[in-house]
Amino acid sequence: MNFRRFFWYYLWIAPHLLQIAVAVLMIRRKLFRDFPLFLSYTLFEVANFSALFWLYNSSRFTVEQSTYVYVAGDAIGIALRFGVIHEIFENVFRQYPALNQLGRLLFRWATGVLLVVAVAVALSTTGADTDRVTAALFVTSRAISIVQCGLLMFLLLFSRYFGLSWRNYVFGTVLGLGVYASVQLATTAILTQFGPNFRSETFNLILMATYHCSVLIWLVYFLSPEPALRPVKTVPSHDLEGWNQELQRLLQQ
Amino acid sequence: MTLLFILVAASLFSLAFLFLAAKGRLFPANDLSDITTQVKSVDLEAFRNLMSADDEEYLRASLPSRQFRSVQRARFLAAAQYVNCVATNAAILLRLGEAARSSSDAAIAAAGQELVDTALRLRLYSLMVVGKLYVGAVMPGVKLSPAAIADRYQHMSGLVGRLSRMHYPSRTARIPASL
Repeated sequence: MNFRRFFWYYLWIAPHLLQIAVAVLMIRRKLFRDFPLFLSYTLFEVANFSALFWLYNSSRFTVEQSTYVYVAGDAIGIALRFGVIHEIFENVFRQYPALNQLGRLLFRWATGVLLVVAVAVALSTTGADTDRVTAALFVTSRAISIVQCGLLMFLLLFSRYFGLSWRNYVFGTVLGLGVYASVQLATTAILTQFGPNFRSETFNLILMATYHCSVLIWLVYFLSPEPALRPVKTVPSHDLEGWNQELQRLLQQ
Repeated sequence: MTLLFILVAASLFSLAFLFLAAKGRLFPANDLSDITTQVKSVDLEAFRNLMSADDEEYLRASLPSRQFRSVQRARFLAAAQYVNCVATNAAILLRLGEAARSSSDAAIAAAGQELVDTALRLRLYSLMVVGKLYVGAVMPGVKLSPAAIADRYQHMSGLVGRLSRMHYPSRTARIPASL
Protein backbone atom coordinates (compact mmCIF):
# COMPACT_ATOMS: atom_id res chain seq x y z
CA MET A 1 0.00 0.00 0.00
CA ASN A 2 1.54 3.31 -1.05
CA PHE A 3 1.43 6.43 1.12
CA ARG A 4 -1.35 8.12 -0.80
CA ARG A 5 -3.53 5.04 -0.46
CA PHE A 6 -2.72 4.75 3.24
CA PHE A 7 -3.51 8.45 3.75
CA TRP A 8 -6.82 8.03 1.94
CA TYR A 9 -7.78 5.09 4.18
CA TYR A 10 -6.68 6.99 7.25
CA LEU A 11 -8.85 10.02 6.35
CA TRP A 12 -11.78 7.74 5.69
CA ILE A 13 -11.54 5.62 8.84
CA ALA A 14 -10.06 7.91 11.55
CA PRO A 15 -12.80 10.58 11.70
CA HIS A 16 -15.47 7.94 12.16
CA LEU A 17 -13.54 6.26 14.95
CA LEU A 18 -13.20 9.68 16.57
CA GLN A 19 -16.94 10.20 16.13
CA ILE A 20 -17.51 7.14 18.30
CA ALA A 21 -15.51 8.95 20.99
CA VAL A 22 -17.62 12.09 20.42
CA ALA A 23 -20.82 10.06 20.84
CA VAL A 24 -19.51 8.40 24.01
CA LEU A 25 -18.56 11.81 25.42
CA MET A 26 -21.98 13.22 24.61
CA ILE A 27 -23.69 10.33 26.35
CA ARG A 28 -21.39 10.42 29.40
CA ARG A 29 -21.77 14.20 29.80
CA LYS A 30 -25.52 13.95 29.11
CA LEU A 31 -25.17 16.46 26.27
CA PHE A 32 -27.63 14.46 24.18
CA ARG A 33 -30.41 16.21 26.16
CA ASP A 34 -29.45 19.50 24.51
CA PHE A 35 -28.28 18.00 21.24
CA PRO A 36 -30.30 14.89 20.38
CA LEU A 37 -30.01 15.51 16.65
CA PHE A 38 -26.27 16.03 16.79
CA LEU A 39 -25.90 12.70 18.59
CA SER A 40 -28.15 11.11 15.95
CA TYR A 41 -26.02 12.66 13.22
CA THR A 42 -22.82 11.40 14.84
CA LEU A 43 -24.16 7.87 15.26
CA PHE A 44 -25.60 7.90 11.74
CA GLU A 45 -22.25 8.93 10.24
CA VAL A 46 -20.55 6.04 12.04
CA ALA A 47 -23.22 3.57 10.86
CA ASN A 48 -23.10 4.96 7.32
CA PHE A 49 -19.32 4.65 7.26
CA SER A 50 -19.52 1.03 8.49
CA ALA A 51 -22.00 0.15 5.75
CA LEU A 52 -19.96 1.87 3.02
CA PHE A 53 -16.70 0.34 4.24
CA TRP A 54 -18.28 -3.10 4.16
CA LEU A 55 -19.70 -2.50 0.67
CA TYR A 56 -16.38 -1.13 -0.58
CA ASN A 57 -14.45 -4.16 0.59
CA SER A 58 -17.03 -6.76 -0.38
CA SER A 59 -17.19 -8.33 -3.81
CA ARG A 60 -20.86 -9.33 -3.42
CA PHE A 61 -22.21 -5.87 -4.34
CA THR A 62 -22.12 -4.00 -7.61
CA VAL A 63 -20.81 -0.45 -7.98
CA GLU A 64 -24.37 0.66 -8.71
CA GLN A 65 -25.63 -0.76 -5.42
CA SER A 66 -22.80 0.91 -3.51
CA THR A 67 -23.58 4.22 -5.22
CA TYR A 68 -27.24 4.00 -4.17
CA VAL A 69 -26.20 3.44 -0.56
CA TYR A 70 -23.69 6.32 -0.78
CA VAL A 71 -26.23 8.77 -2.23
CA ALA A 72 -28.94 7.72 0.25
CA GLY A 73 -26.49 8.05 3.15
CA ASP A 74 -25.32 11.43 1.91
CA ALA A 75 -28.92 12.67 1.65
CA ILE A 76 -29.74 11.54 5.19
CA GLY A 77 -26.48 13.09 6.46
CA ILE A 78 -27.37 16.44 4.81
CA ALA A 79 -30.88 16.37 6.29
CA LEU A 80 -29.46 15.62 9.72
CA ARG A 81 -26.94 18.48 9.39
CA PHE A 82 -29.83 20.87 8.69
CA GLY A 83 -31.52 19.47 11.77
CA VAL A 84 -28.36 20.07 13.81
CA ILE A 85 -28.16 23.68 12.61
CA HIS A 86 -31.78 24.21 13.66
CA GLU A 87 -30.97 22.58 16.99
CA ILE A 88 -28.07 25.01 17.48
CA PHE A 89 -30.36 27.99 16.78
CA GLU A 90 -32.87 26.66 19.32
CA ASN A 91 -30.10 26.04 21.83
CA VAL A 92 -28.62 29.52 21.54
CA PHE A 93 -31.94 31.36 21.67
CA ARG A 94 -33.41 29.22 24.47
CA GLN A 95 -31.14 31.02 26.91
CA TYR A 96 -32.55 34.38 25.81
CA PRO A 97 -36.36 34.43 26.07
CA ALA A 98 -36.39 38.02 24.76
CA LEU A 99 -34.88 36.82 21.49
CA ASN A 100 -36.56 33.43 21.24
CA GLN A 101 -39.38 34.41 18.90
CA LEU A 102 -37.19 36.74 16.88
CA GLY A 103 -34.58 34.01 16.54
CA ARG A 104 -37.10 31.52 15.17
CA LEU A 105 -38.46 34.09 12.76
CA LEU A 106 -34.99 35.03 11.55
CA PHE A 107 -34.03 31.37 11.15
CA ARG A 108 -37.01 30.87 8.82
CA TRP A 109 -36.27 34.04 6.89
CA ALA A 110 -32.56 33.32 6.61
CA THR A 111 -33.30 29.79 5.37
CA GLY A 112 -35.78 31.17 2.84
CA VAL A 113 -33.42 33.85 1.54
CA LEU A 114 -30.48 31.44 1.34
CA LEU A 115 -32.64 28.90 -0.52
CA VAL A 116 -33.56 31.57 -3.06
CA VAL A 117 -29.86 32.48 -3.44
CA ALA A 118 -28.91 28.81 -3.78
CA VAL A 119 -31.57 28.20 -6.45
CA ALA A 120 -30.53 31.36 -8.31
CA VAL A 121 -26.89 30.24 -8.24
CA ALA A 122 -27.90 26.76 -9.44
CA LEU A 123 -29.92 28.19 -12.32
CA SER A 124 -27.12 30.49 -13.44
CA THR A 125 -24.54 27.69 -13.54
CA THR A 126 -22.54 27.45 -16.74
CA GLY A 127 -19.97 24.89 -15.76
CA ALA A 128 -18.18 22.10 -17.58
CA ASP A 129 -20.34 19.94 -19.80
CA THR A 130 -20.36 16.61 -18.01
CA ASP A 131 -23.08 14.02 -17.60
CA ARG A 132 -26.31 15.50 -16.29
CA VAL A 133 -26.67 13.34 -13.17
CA THR A 134 -23.19 14.15 -11.87
CA ALA A 135 -23.61 17.82 -12.71
CA ALA A 136 -26.97 17.89 -10.90
CA LEU A 137 -25.41 16.26 -7.85
CA PHE A 138 -22.63 18.87 -7.72
CA VAL A 139 -25.04 21.77 -8.22
CA THR A 140 -27.29 20.39 -5.44
CA SER A 141 -24.31 19.85 -3.16
CA ARG A 142 -23.12 23.41 -3.78
CA ALA A 143 -26.60 24.80 -3.11
CA ILE A 144 -26.76 22.89 0.18
CA SER A 145 -23.30 24.21 1.15
CA ILE A 146 -24.45 27.78 0.45
CA VAL A 147 -27.49 27.39 2.73
CA GLN A 148 -25.64 25.58 5.54
CA CYS A 149 -22.63 27.90 5.46
CA GLY A 150 -24.90 30.94 5.25
CA LEU A 151 -27.04 29.85 8.19
CA LEU A 152 -24.01 29.25 10.39
CA MET A 153 -22.45 32.60 9.45
CA PHE A 154 -25.77 34.33 10.06
CA LEU A 155 -25.99 32.77 13.52
CA LEU A 156 -22.42 33.83 14.35
CA LEU A 157 -22.94 37.40 13.10
CA PHE A 158 -26.27 37.71 14.90
CA SER A 159 -24.75 36.44 18.14
CA ARG A 160 -21.81 38.74 17.75
CA TYR A 161 -24.03 41.78 17.30
CA PHE A 162 -26.12 40.97 20.35
CA GLY A 163 -23.09 39.91 22.38
CA LEU A 164 -24.61 36.53 23.17
CA SER A 165 -22.39 34.15 25.06
CA TRP A 166 -22.13 30.57 23.91
CA ARG A 167 -21.56 27.41 25.80
CA ASN A 168 -18.33 25.70 24.83
CA TYR A 169 -19.80 22.64 23.14
CA VAL A 170 -22.40 24.68 21.22
CA PHE A 171 -19.66 26.86 19.79
CA GLY A 172 -17.53 23.79 19.05
CA THR A 173 -20.40 22.21 17.12
CA VAL A 174 -20.86 25.38 15.04
CA LEU A 175 -17.14 25.66 14.45
CA GLY A 176 -16.82 22.08 13.22
CA LEU A 177 -19.87 22.29 10.98
CA GLY A 178 -18.87 25.75 9.74
CA VAL A 179 -15.35 24.71 8.74
CA TYR A 180 -16.70 21.69 6.85
CA ALA A 181 -19.49 23.67 5.15
CA SER A 182 -17.06 26.45 4.12
CA VAL A 183 -14.52 24.09 2.55
CA GLN A 184 -17.30 22.07 0.93
CA LEU A 185 -18.67 25.28 -0.56
CA ALA A 186 -15.32 26.10 -2.18
CA THR A 187 -14.63 22.57 -3.43
CA THR A 188 -18.10 22.02 -4.87
CA ALA A 189 -17.98 25.46 -6.51
CA ILE A 190 -14.66 24.57 -8.19
CA LEU A 191 -15.80 21.09 -9.23
CA THR A 192 -19.11 22.43 -10.57
CA GLN A 193 -17.18 24.98 -12.63
CA PHE A 194 -14.47 22.71 -14.00
CA GLY A 195 -16.22 19.34 -13.95
CA PRO A 196 -16.05 16.41 -11.50
CA ASN A 197 -12.86 15.01 -13.06
CA PHE A 198 -10.85 18.16 -12.38
CA ARG A 199 -8.32 17.04 -9.74
CA SER A 200 -11.16 15.10 -8.15
CA GLU A 201 -8.86 12.94 -6.01
CA THR A 202 -7.10 15.99 -4.55
CA PHE A 203 -10.38 17.74 -3.77
CA ASN A 204 -11.75 14.55 -2.28
CA LEU A 205 -8.72 14.33 0.01
CA ILE A 206 -9.13 18.00 0.99
CA LEU A 207 -12.77 17.41 1.91
CA MET A 208 -11.94 14.26 3.85
CA ALA A 209 -9.14 16.05 5.71
CA THR A 210 -11.53 18.90 6.53
CA TYR A 211 -14.07 16.47 7.91
CA HIS A 212 -11.30 14.97 10.03
CA CYS A 213 -10.49 18.47 11.35
CA SER A 214 -14.17 19.09 12.10
CA VAL A 215 -14.44 15.88 14.12
CA LEU A 216 -11.27 16.82 16.00
CA ILE A 217 -12.79 20.24 16.77
CA TRP A 218 -15.94 18.57 18.14
CA LEU A 219 -13.87 16.19 20.21
CA VAL A 220 -11.70 18.97 21.68
CA TYR A 221 -14.70 21.18 22.51
CA PHE A 222 -16.66 18.31 24.03
CA LEU A 223 -13.63 17.34 26.11
CA SER A 224 -12.84 20.84 27.37
CA PRO A 225 -14.62 21.91 30.55
CA GLU A 226 -17.17 24.69 30.47
CA PRO A 227 -15.57 27.93 31.72
CA ALA A 228 -17.45 29.10 34.78
CA LEU A 229 -19.06 32.54 34.72
CA ARG A 230 -17.38 34.84 37.16
CA PRO A 231 -20.07 35.63 39.71
CA VAL A 232 -21.05 39.29 39.95
CA LYS A 233 -20.65 39.28 43.72
CA THR A 234 -16.90 38.82 43.42
CA VAL A 235 -16.47 42.04 41.45
CA PRO A 236 -14.12 44.11 43.63
CA SER A 237 -15.48 47.33 45.01
CA HIS A 238 -12.93 49.47 43.17
CA ASP A 239 -14.55 48.35 39.93
CA LEU A 240 -17.54 50.49 40.78
CA GLU A 241 -15.29 53.44 41.40
CA GLY A 242 -13.69 52.78 38.04
CA TRP A 243 -17.07 53.28 36.41
CA ASN A 244 -17.29 56.73 37.94
CA GLN A 245 -13.73 57.59 36.90
CA GLU A 246 -14.44 56.44 33.39
CA LEU A 247 -17.52 58.65 33.33
CA GLN A 248 -15.52 61.69 34.48
CA ARG A 249 -12.82 61.03 31.91
CA LEU A 250 -15.38 60.70 29.14
CA LEU A 251 -17.24 63.82 30.26
CA GLN A 252 -14.04 65.90 30.21
CA GLN A 253 -13.10 64.85 26.68
CA MET B 1 -16.20 32.31 -13.48
CA THR B 2 -17.37 35.36 -11.50
CA LEU B 3 -19.71 33.13 -9.53
CA LEU B 4 -16.82 30.81 -8.73
CA PHE B 5 -14.76 33.70 -7.38
CA ILE B 6 -17.69 34.95 -5.28
CA LEU B 7 -18.31 31.51 -3.78
CA VAL B 8 -14.62 30.84 -3.07
CA ALA B 9 -14.30 34.32 -1.53
CA ALA B 10 -17.39 33.63 0.62
CA SER B 11 -15.86 30.36 1.70
CA LEU B 12 -12.55 32.04 2.64
CA PHE B 13 -14.40 34.81 4.47
CA SER B 14 -16.38 32.34 6.54
CA LEU B 15 -13.23 30.36 7.34
CA ALA B 16 -11.48 33.57 8.47
CA PHE B 17 -14.53 34.53 10.52
CA LEU B 18 -14.60 31.10 12.16
CA PHE B 19 -10.88 31.33 12.88
CA LEU B 20 -11.32 34.72 14.58
CA ALA B 21 -14.29 33.42 16.52
CA ALA B 22 -12.28 30.41 17.68
CA LYS B 23 -9.47 32.72 18.79
CA GLY B 24 -12.03 34.48 20.98
CA ARG B 25 -11.74 37.81 19.23
CA LEU B 26 -15.38 38.07 18.21
CA PHE B 27 -17.27 37.04 21.29
CA PRO B 28 -17.27 38.44 24.81
CA ALA B 29 -15.06 36.75 27.34
CA ASN B 30 -16.57 35.47 30.55
CA ASP B 31 -14.15 37.57 32.58
CA LEU B 32 -15.91 40.68 33.84
CA SER B 33 -12.85 42.24 35.45
CA ASP B 34 -12.15 44.63 32.55
CA ILE B 35 -15.76 45.74 32.20
CA THR B 36 -15.08 49.21 33.63
CA THR B 37 -12.81 50.11 30.74
CA GLN B 38 -15.51 49.31 28.21
CA VAL B 39 -18.43 51.41 29.45
CA LYS B 40 -19.14 54.56 27.47
CA SER B 41 -20.76 57.62 28.95
CA VAL B 42 -24.20 58.47 27.58
CA ASP B 43 -25.88 61.78 28.36
CA LEU B 44 -29.53 60.97 28.30
CA GLU B 45 -30.80 64.56 28.50
CA ALA B 46 -28.49 65.66 25.70
CA PHE B 47 -29.86 62.90 23.52
CA ARG B 48 -33.41 63.90 24.36
CA ASN B 49 -32.65 67.52 23.51
CA LEU B 50 -30.94 66.49 20.31
CA MET B 51 -34.00 64.59 19.19
CA SER B 52 -36.55 67.06 20.52
CA ALA B 53 -39.44 67.53 18.12
CA ASP B 54 -39.90 71.11 19.34
CA ASP B 55 -36.30 71.94 18.48
CA GLU B 56 -36.73 70.35 15.09
CA GLU B 57 -39.83 72.42 14.40
CA TYR B 58 -38.07 75.57 15.61
CA LEU B 59 -35.08 74.88 13.34
CA ARG B 60 -37.36 74.08 10.43
CA ALA B 61 -39.23 77.36 10.90
CA SER B 62 -36.23 79.61 11.49
CA LEU B 63 -33.58 78.23 9.08
CA PRO B 64 -33.49 78.29 5.30
CA SER B 65 -34.35 74.90 3.85
CA ARG B 66 -30.80 74.07 2.75
CA GLN B 67 -29.27 75.04 6.08
CA PHE B 68 -31.98 73.16 7.96
CA ARG B 69 -31.14 69.96 6.07
CA SER B 70 -27.45 70.41 6.88
CA VAL B 71 -28.15 70.96 10.59
CA GLN B 72 -30.62 68.10 10.64
CA ARG B 73 -28.05 65.79 9.06
CA ALA B 74 -25.52 66.72 11.74
CA ARG B 75 -28.14 66.14 14.46
CA PHE B 76 -28.97 62.68 13.14
CA LEU B 77 -25.32 61.65 12.91
CA ALA B 78 -24.69 62.88 16.45
CA ALA B 79 -27.78 61.03 17.68
CA ALA B 80 -26.55 57.85 15.96
CA GLN B 81 -23.33 58.12 17.94
CA TYR B 82 -25.31 58.36 21.16
CA VAL B 83 -27.34 55.32 20.24
CA ASN B 84 -24.23 53.37 19.31
CA CYS B 85 -22.84 54.14 22.76
CA VAL B 86 -26.06 52.98 24.36
CA ALA B 87 -25.92 49.77 22.33
CA THR B 88 -22.34 49.13 23.44
CA ASN B 89 -23.31 49.68 27.05
CA ALA B 90 -26.23 47.32 26.60
CA ALA B 91 -23.86 44.58 25.41
CA ILE B 92 -21.68 45.11 28.47
CA LEU B 93 -24.65 45.11 30.80
CA LEU B 94 -25.82 41.93 29.13
CA ARG B 95 -22.65 40.22 30.30
CA LEU B 96 -23.18 41.57 33.79
CA GLY B 97 -26.77 40.32 33.72
CA GLU B 98 -25.68 36.90 32.49
CA ALA B 99 -23.25 36.59 35.35
CA ALA B 100 -25.90 37.75 37.79
CA ARG B 101 -28.60 35.36 36.60
CA SER B 102 -26.41 32.40 37.51
CA SER B 103 -26.29 33.66 41.10
CA SER B 104 -27.54 31.37 43.85
CA ASP B 105 -29.47 34.30 45.28
CA ALA B 106 -32.92 34.16 43.67
CA ALA B 107 -33.45 37.93 43.79
CA ILE B 108 -30.11 38.64 42.10
CA ALA B 109 -30.75 35.91 39.53
CA ALA B 110 -34.17 37.39 38.70
CA ALA B 111 -32.76 40.91 38.41
CA GLY B 112 -29.97 39.53 36.21
CA GLN B 113 -32.47 37.81 33.93
CA GLU B 114 -34.50 41.00 33.67
CA LEU B 115 -31.35 42.94 32.85
CA VAL B 116 -30.43 40.42 30.13
CA ASP B 117 -33.89 40.68 28.56
CA THR B 118 -33.93 44.46 28.69
CA ALA B 119 -30.40 44.78 27.33
CA LEU B 120 -31.26 42.50 24.41
CA ARG B 121 -34.39 44.47 23.60
CA LEU B 122 -32.44 47.71 23.80
CA ARG B 123 -29.77 46.28 21.52
CA LEU B 124 -32.38 45.30 18.97
CA TYR B 125 -34.09 48.64 19.29
CA SER B 126 -30.76 50.43 18.88
CA LEU B 127 -30.09 48.54 15.66
CA MET B 128 -33.37 49.74 14.22
CA VAL B 129 -33.01 53.31 15.48
CA VAL B 130 -29.49 53.65 14.09
CA GLY B 131 -30.83 52.45 10.75
CA LYS B 132 -33.55 55.08 10.87
CA LEU B 133 -31.08 57.78 11.91
CA TYR B 134 -28.76 57.01 9.02
CA VAL B 135 -31.72 57.08 6.65
CA GLY B 136 -32.61 60.43 8.24
CA ALA B 137 -29.07 61.69 7.69
CA VAL B 138 -29.32 60.78 4.01
CA MET B 139 -32.82 62.27 3.72
CA PRO B 140 -32.95 65.01 6.37
CA GLY B 141 -36.58 65.85 5.64
CA VAL B 142 -37.82 62.48 6.95
CA LYS B 143 -39.68 62.55 10.29
CA LEU B 144 -38.15 60.27 12.91
CA SER B 145 -39.13 59.46 16.49
CA PRO B 146 -36.22 57.67 18.14
CA ALA B 147 -36.54 59.62 21.37
CA ALA B 148 -38.39 56.68 22.92
CA ILE B 149 -35.07 54.89 23.14
CA ALA B 150 -34.20 57.24 25.98
CA ASP B 151 -37.03 55.82 28.09
CA ARG B 152 -35.90 52.28 27.38
CA TYR B 153 -32.37 53.18 28.41
CA GLN B 154 -33.55 54.83 31.62
CA HIS B 155 -35.48 51.68 32.51
CA MET B 156 -32.37 49.57 32.03
CA SER B 157 -30.26 51.91 34.14
CA GLY B 158 -32.85 51.42 36.87
CA LEU B 159 -32.39 47.67 36.65
CA VAL B 160 -28.64 47.99 37.05
CA GLY B 161 -29.26 50.18 40.07
CA ARG B 162 -31.43 47.49 41.64
CA LEU B 163 -28.78 44.89 40.94
CA SER B 164 -25.97 46.95 42.46
CA ARG B 165 -28.07 47.75 45.53
CA MET B 166 -28.56 44.01 46.11
CA HIS B 167 -24.82 43.41 46.05
CA TYR B 168 -23.57 46.62 47.58
CA PRO B 169 -26.34 48.26 49.58
CA SER B 170 -23.92 50.88 50.88
CA ARG B 171 -22.86 51.99 47.42
CA THR B 172 -26.24 52.53 45.90
CA ALA B 173 -26.83 53.43 42.29
CA ARG B 174 -23.32 54.37 41.35
CA ILE B 175 -23.35 52.19 38.26
CA PRO B 176 -26.46 53.73 36.68
CA ALA B 177 -25.16 57.15 37.60
CA SER B 178 -22.18 56.50 35.41
CA LEU B 179 -24.20 55.32 32.40
